[in-house]
This record gives sequence, C-alpha cells and structure tokens, in this order.
Amino acid sequence: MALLDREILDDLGIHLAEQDYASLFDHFDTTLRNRVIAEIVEELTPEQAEQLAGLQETTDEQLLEWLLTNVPNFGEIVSDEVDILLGELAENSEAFSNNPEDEHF
Amino acid sequence: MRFSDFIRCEQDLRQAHERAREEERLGLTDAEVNAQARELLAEVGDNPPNNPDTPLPNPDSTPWTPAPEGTPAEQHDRAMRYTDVQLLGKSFRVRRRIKEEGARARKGLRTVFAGTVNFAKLPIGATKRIAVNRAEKALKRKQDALEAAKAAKAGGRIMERRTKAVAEAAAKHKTKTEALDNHKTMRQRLDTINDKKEIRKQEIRDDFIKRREMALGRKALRKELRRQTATGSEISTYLLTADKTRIQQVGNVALIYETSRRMSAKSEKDWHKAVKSAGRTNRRLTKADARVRKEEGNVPQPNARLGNQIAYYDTERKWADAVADVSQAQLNEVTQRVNNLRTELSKLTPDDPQYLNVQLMLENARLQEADYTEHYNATYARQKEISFRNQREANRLGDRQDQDHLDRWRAQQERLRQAHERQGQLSTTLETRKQATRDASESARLAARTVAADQRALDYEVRAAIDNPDQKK
Repeated sequence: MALLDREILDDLGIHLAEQDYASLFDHFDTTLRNRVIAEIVEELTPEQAEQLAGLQETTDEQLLEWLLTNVPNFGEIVSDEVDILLGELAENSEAFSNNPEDEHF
Repeated sequence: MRFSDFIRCEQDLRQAHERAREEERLGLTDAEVNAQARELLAEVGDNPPNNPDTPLPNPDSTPWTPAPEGTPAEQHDRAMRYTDVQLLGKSFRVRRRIKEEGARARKGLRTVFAGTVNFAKLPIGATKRIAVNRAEKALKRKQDALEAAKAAKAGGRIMERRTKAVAEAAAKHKTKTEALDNHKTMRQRLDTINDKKEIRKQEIRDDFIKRREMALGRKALRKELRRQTATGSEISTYLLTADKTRIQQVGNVALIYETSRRMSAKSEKDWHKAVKSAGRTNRRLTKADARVRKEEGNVPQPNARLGNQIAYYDTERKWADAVADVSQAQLNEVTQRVNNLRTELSKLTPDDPQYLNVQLMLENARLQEADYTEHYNATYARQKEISFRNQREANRLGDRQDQDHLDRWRAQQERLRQAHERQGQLSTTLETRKQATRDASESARLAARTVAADQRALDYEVRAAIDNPDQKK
C-alpha cells in the first residue's frame, strides 16, 4: 500500500505536474526505505546484521517476519520514520509547489 | 432634461430645417422622395446603378430660379453652368438617402450586436447587477407613467393597462433582485469554502509537523533507552506511558539538532565544493604559468627555407661574378701583355735578332686578346645579368624573410600577452576561491560547533526526560 498519495498532497496544497507525482512518490519510498534500514541496522547486533544480509533471496513476507521477530519496536520505528518524512514534506510543501525538482527531504 | 440631450435636440431641429429648405429648393416633398426611393429600390435592390440615366431638366418645371445678381459675365456663366440635377440626375438625392439610411441601419445593428457580445463577456455578477438596474429603471419609468395617468385622471383602460405594466415590471425586478441575491450568497459561500480550505490545509500541515516532532522525540528517547540496554517492551511501555508534552519537548530539541545537523552537512558539502574548485583553479593557473614560460622562450627564428633560397641565390651570384671577373682579368692581362710587347717591339730595330721573335709573340698576344675580347663580350654581360638577377631575388626573399620573421614575432608576442592575461585572471580567481574556501571552512566549523552543542542539548533533554518522564519544564 502506498504511504503517500495524491489525497495527502492535495491536503497539503502540493500540486504537481503529472510526471512529477510519480517521481515524488518514488523518491519518497526510496528515502523512507533507506531511513528505515539505517534505523534497523543500528538496532541489530553484528550477527543479526549478517543474518539480514543473507536474507536477500527471501520473499517479502519472510523478510517482514524476520524483522518483526528480531527488530524490537519495528512497527514503531517505521511509523516514526513515516511521520518524520511526512512532516518534512509538510514543512516544505510551499517550496515543493514552486520547484518540485529541488531536494526537500 | 440634461444639457447634452438639449444640444442633441437642437442639432436635430437644425438638420430638419436644413432638410426642409433643401426639399423646398428642389421642389420635392418627402412623400415624393420616399416614393422615388421605393421605386428605385424595387428596380435595383440594394445596389444603385453606377451610371443612372440623367434626364435633361425642363426649365418650365423648375419652380425656383435664383434672382439675377452679379455682373453680366457672371450671370452668363451661371446660366451656362449645369445644375446638380443635370450632373447627378434627379434620383441622386434619393439614392444618397437610401445609402445613408442603409449605413445607419447597419451601424445600429452592429452596435446592438457588439453590445450583446460585450454584455455576454461580462462577469456573471456584473450582468446580474446590470439586469437589476435595468429592471429598476423600467419599474420607475412605469410607475411614473402610472402616476401621470393618475394625475391626469385617465380612463379605466389606461389605468388598468399601466397598473398591469407596473405589476409586471415589479415582478421582473423582484426576480432579477432575487437572482442577484442568490448569486451573492453563492459567491460568499464559495469564498467561505476557499477560506476554510486554506485554514484546513494549514491545520493539516501543522498536524503533520507536530507529529514529526513527536516522532523525533520518540526516536531520540528510543535510542537513548536502547543505549541504556532497555528491552523492546520496556521501550514501548515507556513511550506509551510518558507524558506527551515531555516527548514533544524532546522532539523540539531533536528537531533543532536535526536542522543544525543538516546545515552542518550542507556547509561541509559547500566547503568540499570550494576546495575542489580552488584546486581546479590552481591547476589551471599552473598550466597558465607553464604556457607563459613556453611563450617567453619561444623566440621565433628566421624562415629556414627562405634562408636556403637566399644562400643559393648568393652562391649563384658570386659564381657569376667570379666568371665575369676571371674573364675581365684574363682580358686585362693579355691587353697588358700586348701593350708590353708593343713597347718592347718599338724599342727594337728590325735588325735585332729578337725583333722577329717579339713580333711573333705580339701577334700571338693580339690573337689571344681578340679571343679574350670575344669571350669577354660573350660572357661578362650575361654573367653580370645573372648576378644582378640573383642579387634582386636574394633581396626580395630577404625582405620577405624579414616580414615573415616580424609577423611571427608579433604573433608570439600576442600569444605571450594572452598567456599573461589568462595568468592574471586565474590568479585573481584563485584568490577569490581561496577566500571562499576559508569562508566555507569557517562556516562548516561553526556549523559543526552548533551541531555539537545541539547534540549535547538533545542528550541532556533525553536523559532528563528518561529520569523524570512526568516533569515538565
């Protein structure tokens, strides 16, 4: 499920060209994934990090199950990162509408 | 009545008088003119004939003749002149009126059409207001008519008709007014919705920003609790039970730290860019210095090919001179010898045993002198010509070589000047970039110091929140 959609952007007063929406959604997902991974890596022991590195070939469900088992407060971490990213988006919403190509988060 | 209306009435009246005088002068009444116009329209439609048949006027039918005045010559001239009717035809005035009336009608139609189009282009609110004004004026006009009828104690049918007209105008005015009021109401609602939309947008934005602060606060507290070896459930319990205001306070400090950290990262990035740029300029300046040195040592030499050609011509010239000189020397020598032998022979007597011998030697010398003279005449001039031509070619090539050398020297000087100019520009740029590097370094240092201070403030705030989760500042 997409965390960011047009309804949220409309609520924030962000109106973009059609092709810019897709690039913004991609950028949002990539940034969120990187930040969540960075946070998770800080929570893991070296052994767990090695295990996580070995789970590249597994399915998403298996990976999620492993994260829920081994990463304490995994849901809270993800939720906080989503809130932080959406807050940055809201804070820079006016600048976003002016020049969507800039890096705002 | 307004003054402009009065003026317009006056103008209309004056035009009517002039028209009447004209009709009287030509002896045609309006009814006759209109009858002629109808006939002409029936004949030619909207397009009058270009060359109408002009009947000659009958002097007896002309009702008005001017009184003879002026000199006899003028009277004769006037009598010989053609009248307007003779020149333009009797139907000219009719055609002109048809044309004018048609133009006036077309202008009126265009005016009405343009007014309709312009009215349609107006904003809806303006059209509704205009409609209400018109309905109000119509109502006022009909009410005045009704009042006038009442004042004149008019009959029942007039009163009935005007009362009905007033009622209809009032109903129309009411409809238009209600439409305008509805429009205003809807416009106000739309404005209210837009205003509320902006307020709601700001509320949503504030809510997102507040949630971000809370999330940053939770994140900072979670990290600190994890550092203090708390378990996941303990962290969850703490975050659930801790005072929200306290978490928000931590989040606020974390936001400040996050902002300064980003600024520091940006300053560091700028510093790296400045260093890289200064290094690039420095390398360019090094190249420019090398270029200057190369141009300074690059003194142009004379053209070798031209030099070889000049040497060849010089050699040829010398050879020709030598040949000519040898030829002349040989001739001089044999002439000298002839002279000597002649002198010696003059000193001897024919009886002298040497006389015959000297005479023979003189004869031989004369023959040799004749040969040498012939050889000299054939060689000396040609060799001198060759020598002169070579000298001229050598001079020409020498001039060309000098000019070529001068050109190359000038080009080298220009290159050297450009190299110096480039060197100077790069030196200035390098100084600027070095200053920018120093500034960026100072900014980065200050930003790093701010980050460290904010980090300490965040640590302090986090520890205070963990130690006293319910205590507020």
